Amino acid sequence: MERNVRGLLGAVALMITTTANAQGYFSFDEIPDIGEPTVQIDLPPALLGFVNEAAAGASPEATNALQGVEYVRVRVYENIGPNMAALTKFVADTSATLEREGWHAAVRIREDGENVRIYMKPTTRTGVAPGTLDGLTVMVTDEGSDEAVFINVSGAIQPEQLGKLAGAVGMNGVFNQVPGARPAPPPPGQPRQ
Amino acid sequence: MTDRDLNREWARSQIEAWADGSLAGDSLARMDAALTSDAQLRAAAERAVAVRHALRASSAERMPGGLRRRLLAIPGAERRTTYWWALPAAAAAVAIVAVALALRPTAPPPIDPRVAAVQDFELAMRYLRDSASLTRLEVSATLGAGLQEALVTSRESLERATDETGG
Repeated sequence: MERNVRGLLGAVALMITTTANAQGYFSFDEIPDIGEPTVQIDLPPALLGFVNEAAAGASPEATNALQGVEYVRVRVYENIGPNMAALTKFVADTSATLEREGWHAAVRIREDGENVRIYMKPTTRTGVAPGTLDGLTVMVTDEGSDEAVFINVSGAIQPEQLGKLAGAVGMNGVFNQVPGARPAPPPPGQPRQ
Repeated sequence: MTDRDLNREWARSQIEAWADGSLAGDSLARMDAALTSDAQLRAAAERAVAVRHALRASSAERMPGGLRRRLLAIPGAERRTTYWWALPAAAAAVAIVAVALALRPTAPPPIDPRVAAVQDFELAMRYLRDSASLTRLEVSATLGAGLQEALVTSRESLERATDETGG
């Protein structure tokens, strides 16, 4: 009986995960337990509403880019040490899972201890603009700087606009113009420049 | 600026107070009226309530039980006999306390969840941009033109930022 219940729970969890991935949501719950992330960002729709409000007062382009974005999440791990192998395996396993579930590998780089994967999930929704993505997932592990970065953006994403927004943030002040919104600090260590 | 604009501005400044239930009397009535007539304000207020609930549900920063007990154990003011000879010592003690209070690190002001959300989003976008910069031109042929342009745009922005900051 207990085994049946566990099996049922497992199946439900799998269904939830599968459905979530199908919608562009990538679960970070499977990241190996290597301690607390240095950076943990979870922006659900309620909080993205604030960002939308801020963007509305600053830039119509930013508003367009944000329209449809439902969830933004980031995890950054530093000083990983011997746990890097577990994270690298996680990236490999997750890549296989995402590909099985219809995600496309947009970028795969593995060189000099640097492992970069960018996956995108073309939309399955009807009535949205061509080229819209349901999800964008970035996984980076870097043995050199001993850190790992995981990013997931889900919703109805216009990649070009999101890219422009990412490019503009902190540069010409998409959000710098918002009263009370100070520019975010640079990512710790600025390892990506 | 019209009266309506002023009323709207006032209402937006009161969202947090409304969400935590500290509005009362005329202010509460005025806010309720504004919420009824302004869907955008209502949505913002609902988000404030949602954030408040989420923060309340979070167990991240609970006050330690021991600290709470110690705070509760602080006795109330008692009537004391004044000893005049003790006044200089008391004055010195007050001065020491004042200096200590002036020198102690001040607690950071509470962060407005709206500002925190914008900052978090900006940081997330920076990570996205920085990750894109790693891809250089090795973008898969299966990549849609949109994302490819996005990555290139992001990369160029990053390169400009690096040039400008000398980083």
